[in-house]
Amino acid sequence: MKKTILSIVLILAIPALTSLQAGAQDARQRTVETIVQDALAQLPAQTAADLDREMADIAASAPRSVEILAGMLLPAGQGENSKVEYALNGVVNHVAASGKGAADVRAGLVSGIRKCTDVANTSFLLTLLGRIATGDEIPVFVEYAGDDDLGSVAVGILSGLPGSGDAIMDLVRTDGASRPLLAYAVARKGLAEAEPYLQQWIGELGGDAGKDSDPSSKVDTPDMRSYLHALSLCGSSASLKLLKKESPYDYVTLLDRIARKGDYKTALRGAEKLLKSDDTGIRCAALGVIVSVKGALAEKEVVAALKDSDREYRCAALDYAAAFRMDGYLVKGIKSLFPSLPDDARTDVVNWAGNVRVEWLLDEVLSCLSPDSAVSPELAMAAVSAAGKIGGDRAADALVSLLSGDRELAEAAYEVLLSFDGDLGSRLERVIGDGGESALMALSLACERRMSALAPDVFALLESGRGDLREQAYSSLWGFVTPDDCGKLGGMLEKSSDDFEISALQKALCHALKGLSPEEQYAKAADLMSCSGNPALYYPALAQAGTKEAVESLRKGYEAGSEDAFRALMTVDSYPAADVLLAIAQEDAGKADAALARFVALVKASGQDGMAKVSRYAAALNLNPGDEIRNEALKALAEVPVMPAFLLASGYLDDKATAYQAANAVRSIATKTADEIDYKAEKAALEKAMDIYAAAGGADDGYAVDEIKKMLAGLQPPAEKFVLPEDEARAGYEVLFDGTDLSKWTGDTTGYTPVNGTIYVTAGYGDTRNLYTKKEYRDFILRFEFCFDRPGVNNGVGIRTPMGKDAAYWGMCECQILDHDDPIYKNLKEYQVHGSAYGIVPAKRIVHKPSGTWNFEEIKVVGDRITVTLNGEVILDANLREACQGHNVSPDGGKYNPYTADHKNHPGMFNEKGHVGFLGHGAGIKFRNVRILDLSE
Amino acid sequence: MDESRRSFLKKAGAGAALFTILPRHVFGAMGGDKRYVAPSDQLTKGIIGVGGIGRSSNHFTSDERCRLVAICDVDTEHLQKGVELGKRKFGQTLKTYHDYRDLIHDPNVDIVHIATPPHWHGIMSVEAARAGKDIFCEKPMTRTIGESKRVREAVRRSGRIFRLNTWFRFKDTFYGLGTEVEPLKKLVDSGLLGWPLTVRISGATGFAWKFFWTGRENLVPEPVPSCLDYDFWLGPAPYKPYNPHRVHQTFRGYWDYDGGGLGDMGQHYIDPVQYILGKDGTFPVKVEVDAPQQHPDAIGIWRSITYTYEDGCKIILEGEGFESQGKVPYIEGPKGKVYKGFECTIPNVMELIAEMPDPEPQNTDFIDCVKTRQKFALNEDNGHHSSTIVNMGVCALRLGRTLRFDPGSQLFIGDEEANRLIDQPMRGTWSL
Repeated sequence: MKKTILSIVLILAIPALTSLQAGAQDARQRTVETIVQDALAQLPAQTAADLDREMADIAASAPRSVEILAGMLLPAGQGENSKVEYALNGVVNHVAASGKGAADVRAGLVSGIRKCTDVANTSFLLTLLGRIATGDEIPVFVEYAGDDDLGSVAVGILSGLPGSGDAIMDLVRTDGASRPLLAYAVARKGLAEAEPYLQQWIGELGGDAGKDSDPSSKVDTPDMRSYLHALSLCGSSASLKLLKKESPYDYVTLLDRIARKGDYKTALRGAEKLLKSDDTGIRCAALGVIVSVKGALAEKEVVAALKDSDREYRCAALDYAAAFRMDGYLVKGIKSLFPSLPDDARTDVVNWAGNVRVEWLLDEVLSCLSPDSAVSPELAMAAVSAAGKIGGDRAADALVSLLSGDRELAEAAYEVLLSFDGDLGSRLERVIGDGGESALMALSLACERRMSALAPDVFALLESGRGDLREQAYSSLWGFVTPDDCGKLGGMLEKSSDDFEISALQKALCHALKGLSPEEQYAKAADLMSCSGNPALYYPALAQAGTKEAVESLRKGYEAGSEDAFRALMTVDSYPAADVLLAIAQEDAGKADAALARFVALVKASGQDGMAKVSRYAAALNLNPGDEIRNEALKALAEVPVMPAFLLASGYLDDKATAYQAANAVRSIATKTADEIDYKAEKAALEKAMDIYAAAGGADDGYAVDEIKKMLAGLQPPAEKFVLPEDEARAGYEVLFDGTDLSKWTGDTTGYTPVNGTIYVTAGYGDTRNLYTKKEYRDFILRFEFCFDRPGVNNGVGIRTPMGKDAAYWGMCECQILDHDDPIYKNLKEYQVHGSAYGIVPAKRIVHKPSGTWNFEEIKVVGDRITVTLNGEVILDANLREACQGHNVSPDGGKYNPYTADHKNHPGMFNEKGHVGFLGHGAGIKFRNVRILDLSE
Repeated sequence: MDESRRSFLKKAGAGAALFTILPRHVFGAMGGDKRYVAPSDQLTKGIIGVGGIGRSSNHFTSDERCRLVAICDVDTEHLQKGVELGKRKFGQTLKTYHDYRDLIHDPNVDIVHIATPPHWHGIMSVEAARAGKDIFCEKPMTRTIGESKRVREAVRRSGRIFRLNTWFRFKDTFYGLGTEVEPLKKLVDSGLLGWPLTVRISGATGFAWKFFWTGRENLVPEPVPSCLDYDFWLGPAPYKPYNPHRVHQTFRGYWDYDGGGLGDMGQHYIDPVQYILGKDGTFPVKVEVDAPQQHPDAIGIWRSITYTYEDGCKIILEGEGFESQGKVPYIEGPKGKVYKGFECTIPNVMELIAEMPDPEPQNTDFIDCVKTRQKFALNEDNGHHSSTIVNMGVCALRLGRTLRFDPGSQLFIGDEEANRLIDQPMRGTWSL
């Protein structure tokens, strides 16, 4: 049943396809030209689905569509090809993936290639065809093989196509293309028939004539090189003599080929002779051929190689032998040879044993570590490393015993044991128990590996009569303790009077607490402190807990004059300590740099928002600390992509000591910020930063210069200053903001700044985060433009408002500015939409233009009437007194006012006059061209 | 840092002082030991490409262990600047070359440092290996999958030491992640996060994809400056008319020479992840892209690239401006997450992992590796693997589709067009 349906579908589909080919119109009755144009308009496609759709259309109308596209390619410099290139590349990829329509696209390309007269474009089309070409297209490439400009592309592609061998040989026989190109092609294909021709070509270039004409040059000419190389990849034993004379490396390559073809005898004979070459690389390669032929049977050559004086050769031999390292003969050979080898050769064997895990060499490796083996330091070090890698209990025993020996070896053994995967604990316990020379390092190692099972041994050693052992036990104690040891450690702390012991115990206590939550840590530390005669003993533990209470406790200690408390505060790793450290820096110049270094680190690690961080860094920089701290602050600033951070950092570009970090900050912020930065300031700072990077000269500095260049190229200079249109000038409008100057305004002039011709808002929400006209107005027409920079922006215009109070209630009203289309406002009240007299009269809800678009708004206020016009449409026209029936406040004096839309009191609604204000609720809005006509005058 | 550790041990050895527990990196790597280098063993190097990277302060070096003797560039201005810098910095007159093959075959050069645009890395590395030179190659290893495969073969065939120059798997704070890689490796190895893991390389976790490295379409041909041998600069890359945006620094925005931010930073960012996940010997089996359509010449931006390994581990790259929002983990496993700054959902995690063995020490001193003939920590093998991850992404991005990869054959599965990007034909007489 299904089959029937399928064939019906197919039958129906065939006429449709045919008509498309012949009539060149698709299902939507578009001509091929239109299909091509439609697709081009959509390119480059932004998603795979879009691409598929457009390319399916082009593929379905191939070959004509492809032919049209190819015909649209212009010579470089005479027009833009990119869309056509996207289309052609896209359709080739499309048919290669889907398999459908590939033949038609190929046909279109072939026809395009034949018509194309521009070399670069033909080359492009040939390359595209090469990606989907089959045997059928071989003649096309053959056609271009002899072309001076296109031969390289054509032959290159030809050599990668299946079934092109005969065509290439035809070209070889007829000299149908440049010989080096053909040499490349026959080499890629490994065409044995090409051998006599290559020989002939080499002969024609002739011995020394094949050398570069520059007498100082030791290399063959490129032509000669390509023939020799080709011969090594497609020749036979008939070419051995020639290559042996002309190019030993190619000779070995040919031996390898001959071996692969099965003529082992010839290959081996040639390779064995080469083992005596004075060129190490050739000897290595020859040995490689022998190993590839004989496999494990080459153990004799490998073992013989170990006796060679050339380390490169020995190591290459071992490298080849890695493949059959378990072979019995090889094991026997190397084992019996090992003792008689000189130290440098034994070093190679030992390194090999470690690097490729040759466990059977463990005896030999360990023999180099025994105390009575007088081996070279190099060999001993290699043996330590190999012992660690081969692993095993015996290696562990040997390595642990080295801890007491030669310092360098002890160091190496120590490191190797850090990565030892096996039972180390019992060995170290034994060594520690023995109390011998190696016990000190064993303690340190056990500590580093946190062997808490050994804690009883370590606690016992704290009482040891041996000073060095006791001290090592104290300083390693932290690595063994657990929360259960807190009480014990507290008790010891109370009893000790030795500074060294105390600091070791404090460190141990901190580590014992580490697994607990900060609150639990604080509780335990506070607990120990409460019954202690010397609370300062627990400051390090408090500092580690880092909770608010812990910091407060340390701050009190500091105020009481405790240096211990200061030291502890310096180690706190949580944000509550930042304020305390800043205060210390402000009070005590001697401690300022140290405190600020921590302060900056804490602010950086905190979850504070960008603006808050900048103000904190500014506070640190204002104290003018040393270069190191300033640079730390600048590094931290680089991670805060907001405009004020940019301006702050750019102030440090001119000081040599801070220039590099300032440049880094400026670059990094400019890359990431969503804020607008003043054009001139940004340009100047980036140019300086680029010079600083260029002078620094490191690799990443070069990358930074690239990046800044690209940014500078994209900077747009701001518009001209705003000038009143003629009619407004005649009417008597006053410019309140011309793009540069906020002198007619007051209030939060740091949160509202002139940037690139706009008032750029970074201010957050709050009664002091507003911008007000200096003058007060009663009746007026305010005109301005605004633009949302990001979604969800909230601001407002205060009408007849006092300063520093909420204009929505204490002014006549707040005329809402809001991106109410953003999903975060889905539960908005209607009296909150854009243009509303907030809480009093709703405006007509409009749909905002996309963010980044400028909007023109006029607010006219006369008496109690307010009229708001947005982009020419009146969205609010209301008499506020009438809207609340004269009851701006509740008649009963209560908080609930049934007469206003938000049921709140609006005591300022009937103000006689007041300021005009912009009322910020955060960043993301820009204003420009602000002017006002005072109607009261 | 070596010093403090050493002096501590000296004191400790004397039995007087105490062991202080220092972080692991304080030791320096085993290979970092300089004690056995006699002055007569001084090595020499030559730098190919003395533009931005080749002349940068970390690379344009010359010291008692390895002396810079020669430089090479196809831009005479770069070469002149290099000469002046050599005089100023080391009081040395450097030998200069126009043709890299002459520098490679200079018998006074032991180590070849390749600091050219990536479209040259494969050819130059193979040439250096053929000539028996050890190689210090800047990232990315190569710009195609096929080329890094060839480099790997050639290096092994001649018994060479190869270092790919990115280093975060063994040192330095890992970009904006705010931690070194070693503790992350240790945490992952501990199994505390569970398995499989997802790693997110994103602005949200501290990694910028440098989208300013995008190309320009519709470039207008301009006259080639007299100081630049443009034909040689292009070398194996397809011929395209000269425009200054194609070369010097901005070359990173064109598929012919590099792979944009993905190509150029990818190996820095992804190689350590390959190490952390223990995937040095395998490849992802799938790569998915979410991106606007790419131009065939000029590299554009992308939204995300997701790699999946056979065992379900994922590496997700998030483009600039398309980062996950909120608190984004760097590594996420079924049992825990790690964020920037080693913040972890597993309480007290540093103490928990302290009990576990450290990751195995790595050979991190290149000069020492050259002398002892041991593989460098990041070499032709693991380098080929992380380079291939990057280049798989490049292929998927250029083709705009999901690709599946067979780690065995190192070919894309069922996608002939993608496989034609594995070995791209070279121009003129260039070959590999």
